[in-house]
Amino acid sequence: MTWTLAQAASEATREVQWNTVPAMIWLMYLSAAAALAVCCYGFWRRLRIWRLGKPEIRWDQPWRRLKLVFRAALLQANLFRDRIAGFMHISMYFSFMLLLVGTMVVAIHHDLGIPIMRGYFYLYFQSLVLDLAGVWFCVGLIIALWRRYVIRVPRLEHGNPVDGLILAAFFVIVASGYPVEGIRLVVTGDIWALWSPFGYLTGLALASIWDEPTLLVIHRVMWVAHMLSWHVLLAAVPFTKLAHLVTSPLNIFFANLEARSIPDPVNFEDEQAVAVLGIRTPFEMTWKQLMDLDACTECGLCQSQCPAYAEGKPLSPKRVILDLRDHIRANADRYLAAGRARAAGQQDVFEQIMAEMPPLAPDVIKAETLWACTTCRACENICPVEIEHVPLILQLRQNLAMEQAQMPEGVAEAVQGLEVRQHPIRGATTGRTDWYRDLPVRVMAEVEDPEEIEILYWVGCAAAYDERLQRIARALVRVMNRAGVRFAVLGDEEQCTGDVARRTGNEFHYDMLARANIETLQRYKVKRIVAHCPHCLQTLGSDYRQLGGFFEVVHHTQFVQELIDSGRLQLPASLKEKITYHDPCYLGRYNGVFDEPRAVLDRLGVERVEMTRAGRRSFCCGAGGGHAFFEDHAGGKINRNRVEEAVATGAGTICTACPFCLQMMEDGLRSVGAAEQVAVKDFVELVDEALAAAEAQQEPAAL
Amino acid sequence: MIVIAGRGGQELSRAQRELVTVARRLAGDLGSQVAYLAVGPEAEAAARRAGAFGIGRAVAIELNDASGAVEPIIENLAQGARRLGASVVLLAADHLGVQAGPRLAARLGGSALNDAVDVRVEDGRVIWTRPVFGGKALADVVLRRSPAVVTVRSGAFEAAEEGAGEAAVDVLEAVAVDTAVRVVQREEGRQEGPRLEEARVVVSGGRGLGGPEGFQRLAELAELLGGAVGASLAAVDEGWAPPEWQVGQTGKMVAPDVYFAVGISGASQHLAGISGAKAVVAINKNPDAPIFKVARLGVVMEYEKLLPALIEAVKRELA
Amino acid sequence: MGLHVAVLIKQVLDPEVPAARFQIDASGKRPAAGIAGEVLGPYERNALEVALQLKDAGAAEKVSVITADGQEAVESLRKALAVRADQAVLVDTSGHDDLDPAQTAEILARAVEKLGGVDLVVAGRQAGDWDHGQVGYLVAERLGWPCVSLVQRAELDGGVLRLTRQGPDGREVVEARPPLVVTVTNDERNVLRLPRVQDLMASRRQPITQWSPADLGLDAAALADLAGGEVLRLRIPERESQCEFISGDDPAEVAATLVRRLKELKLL
Repeated sequence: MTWTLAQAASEATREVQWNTVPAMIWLMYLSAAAALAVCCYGFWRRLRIWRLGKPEIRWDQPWRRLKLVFRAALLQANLFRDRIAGFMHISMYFSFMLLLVGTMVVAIHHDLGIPIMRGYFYLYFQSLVLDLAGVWFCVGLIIALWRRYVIRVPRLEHGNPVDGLILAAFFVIVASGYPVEGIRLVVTGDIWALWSPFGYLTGLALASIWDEPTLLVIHRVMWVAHMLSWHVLLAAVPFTKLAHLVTSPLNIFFANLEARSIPDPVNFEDEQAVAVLGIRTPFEMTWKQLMDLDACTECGLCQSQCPAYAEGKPLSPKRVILDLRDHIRANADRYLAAGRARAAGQQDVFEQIMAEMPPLAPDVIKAETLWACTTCRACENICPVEIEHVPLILQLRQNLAMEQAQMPEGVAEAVQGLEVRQHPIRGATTGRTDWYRDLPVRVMAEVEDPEEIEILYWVGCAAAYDERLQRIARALVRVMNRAGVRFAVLGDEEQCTGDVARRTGNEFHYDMLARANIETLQRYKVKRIVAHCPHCLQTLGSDYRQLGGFFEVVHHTQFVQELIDSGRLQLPASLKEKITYHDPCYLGRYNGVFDEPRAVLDRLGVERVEMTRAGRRSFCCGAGGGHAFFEDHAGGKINRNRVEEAVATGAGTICTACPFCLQMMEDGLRSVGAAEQVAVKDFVELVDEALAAAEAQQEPAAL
Repeated sequence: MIVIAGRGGQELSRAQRELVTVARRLAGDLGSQVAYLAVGPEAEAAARRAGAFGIGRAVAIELNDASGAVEPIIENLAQGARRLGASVVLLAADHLGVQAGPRLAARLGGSALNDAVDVRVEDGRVIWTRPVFGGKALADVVLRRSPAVVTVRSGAFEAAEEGAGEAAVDVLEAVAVDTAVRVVQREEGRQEGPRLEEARVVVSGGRGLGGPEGFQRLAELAELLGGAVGASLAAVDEGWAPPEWQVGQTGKMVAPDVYFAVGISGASQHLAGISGAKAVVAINKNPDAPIFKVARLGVVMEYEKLLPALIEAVKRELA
Repeated sequence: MGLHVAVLIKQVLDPEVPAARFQIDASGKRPAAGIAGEVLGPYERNALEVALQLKDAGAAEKVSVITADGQEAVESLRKALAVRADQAVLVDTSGHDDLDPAQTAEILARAVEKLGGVDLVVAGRQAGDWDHGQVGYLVAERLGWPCVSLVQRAELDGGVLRLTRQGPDGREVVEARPPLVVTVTNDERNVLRLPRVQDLMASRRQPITQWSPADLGLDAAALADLAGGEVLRLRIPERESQCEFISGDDPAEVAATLVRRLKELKLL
């Protein structure tokens, strides 16, 4: 018996196309061919749009890129950024893949005549696993429906109604698949019916209601429904969010491996390059930026993390991507025609077509949307398919600011300040060097042997001109002097790094400042720089590389940690305060510095409490992207949102490591009426305080 | 002859009485006489009134020009100044003064100077002092041509007290001027007072006001002082004041003589907007508020208590 | 035929130079060199915008900017070109230092005449450095043209200029026919536009018309003779940074003291 059963099992298979008539089979092959053709046509159109973009090399390090795709697409590694949605996606993804493999097995077995669908493989995989996969898919589907229509997850709003139809089609596929399987099992009395438990149950249930002739009719109807709904979905792939099945892995392959979130530099010497500044039309986007638009899965994670969106400002990173995508899709014929004209060298035809097309900013993406962005990178950090929102927004800003001369008044004034005074701070009451008049600080120009200077201290404008922020610089100077660091500053030779110009789209002014600073730094053969301002850190250390300025730049949190590690600085564990640390965007997400400030704070003996949104998921203070210089009255206040979270930790001090964050936190505390209870301090102010207190204790002892 | 020029009326305005002080000082040092020149409606009344300030001679030119243009005033001021043989013509640095002074000087072949805040005579030379570079410096200036047509900044000199006396008044016929300039529309009265950036007095409120009601008090004080109302970013954010009132790094830059900061702690971005103020008066209940660092005068008190009293005190002062 | 508008501009020491940084040079007559950069004067910016708005509206055909200054003022002329002024004229007065308003006005009036065909001269109410507030008015007198002061906006309506200006009691609208001189004061609607970067770059290559006072028929002696006054000395006023606290518990008493102190300090 055992032997017989084993022998039978090794022969197990099923009849393909049971209970069908030739017309059904013809319909199947025809509709499959049509669906495949439509699908290919759709992607071909996408591809042609991408090819309108400017060139960009995104295929270096192919193995590393393939690994990313493997992790993200096959292992779904990016999906656990939201647990429930991640489970939903993984359920639908893996079960869909299994079912797809199952369909292909049938095709190989039946159409190619290679009998693989048999034996234990048939029983375990083709029957049992696929039967369970269908149920798993249903679980995912139910979660998806529940999220979209029952609890209405906010980040899914503004969704396309077609998205609902996709879920409906999936539902039809599953709901027809089990009856088709079940009726065959019951009517043919398949001895392996128990290997398909859910299908068999469905068959038994149907058989208890209807007689056999009816079941055969139901089977045929369901068979056609199952087949057609699947073909419709296949055809719809390139035209709906399902396109991400193809575009997401592609987009991940072509990801920006440097994760730098900065726009490409503009060569202002090149007349062709400055004919159009920033992005005015899709033709100024790179092919990768165009691909980004099609890679969006509309999951809305970016929107859920966006500080501007959270405070009701007119910006959703998801909408920016989708609005651009929809505009380009709606006008694809014209853009493609313009592209053909250009390729054929018919510049006049190209210009004639493009004259009718509106500038993407502010016609497709409104100016207030672009100005609402704080460039905090929360969107890019969370995006599971590596879409780069920030450089896109900045290049749209570039067109507004440089070509259309449109920008908020405060930005215009800050930029004019850069032009005249080389700093953006309005109404400064001191000069750049006044803050250190009574401190032992050496100025580079007066240092005889620059080789003797181990590190250049880049002060930045905020701490040079703002009285409150000067205390940060003074504290860092004292700390470095205690550690015996041989440092110098540039003094009046220091100019704004251009951060505010660059993040507001004023690349022209950035370019001027950056080149001047690079020249100065190279003249003094500066190798290493310490900055307490993450914006200076980012610009000097990363942005300047694009212009040939290669400097090793460390943040003061890193530098202090280094001084401790090398034994040059001994920290007393004497600060018995409850402190929460706010990660500045340009330090954390931009430069990956999360641990050093925390480690040093722990050494100081503080009781450190974390906010819910910390580390990579830190919530912006609201000052980035030029927002320190203009008032965005739409919606609420980002700093208030953040400060409320900080206050809720019960900490008595908020520690930041960015002068702009500090300003925002102080303002925020005042606005929630907690300025008396909670203090805001820069990281190095706390270090300085602890050191000063320790010295005060030691002195009487020494006497 | 030191000539004080005015527009007529039953009373000599405060600004006119300040000019009397300047004229007396100059006349004493130079050994010259003071005369009064009135051009406008009720010119004769004003000219007679000048006598009460010890001015012996006056010229009145009755001018009732409907065009609203400044041209006829300037031409008639020139006529009067010539008649009086002016070596110095003093005007208030007000709306008329700023536009008439230089042109009058040109017509009289003299030299002009605006915004005098001080004057002294050294070795027979008249040295005028005027603020320059937005008040960051003072310039001592001598004028080369006669007459010197000088506009005097209000408040720089004490107003002369009225006494008794008679002036010999010459009444001249106004010279008709055919002007190509015509006022066709005029805003009725003062709508909202001076604009923030130009106001001599700004009364600003911040988060310390605790609500929009406080701004009504500020407006009352501002109106009494002929000033404008401002607000800090915080107050604008709270919706207590409209955005166009905002003073500071992301708002307006103001440069008044007096800036009242009421319930404003003094965030640096706010201070950025008031660096041009001559004097800051800080009213705040927190004695450690940074605003006191930049203030000339400070009161540590709840504004709800101080402001009504201050309004009363100003009213008494003006009465 | 649209108007030919001439805008008189001046490059001035950055008015935002902090008071603490303001220093006077060895001569004692002018600010020390290098305490701050130079900018196109604030009211000149408004004046330029008024002219450009006339051009935008089709009322002006040509906008020329003129300045009497050293070569460094080319920078401000280029700024004007960058916002699409049509022509820039520098009357190079290097070697004739410290021109006073009477001298400047004579040079500029002659430049306007030499330019020819100018219908409207637009000047700022006062330059943002010495705050003289004379040049526009003196140019009007010298040209013998009527002058409308403290203008905020201008429109052309059938050959008549409609000028919105700051009147004695609020705004008023004045009508006048060219030729005319106007002085401009600031207003939320005459904030100078920003240049497009492409225009900014193009302005670097545009020609600047260069004249000398001699080209305008003024030799050094004649120019010197025009001066209306002389600065003897520049000084920095003493600043009392100390806050004087008015103490007391009785609001009425404190208020009275406050008003008295304000009067004593000549602030009210």
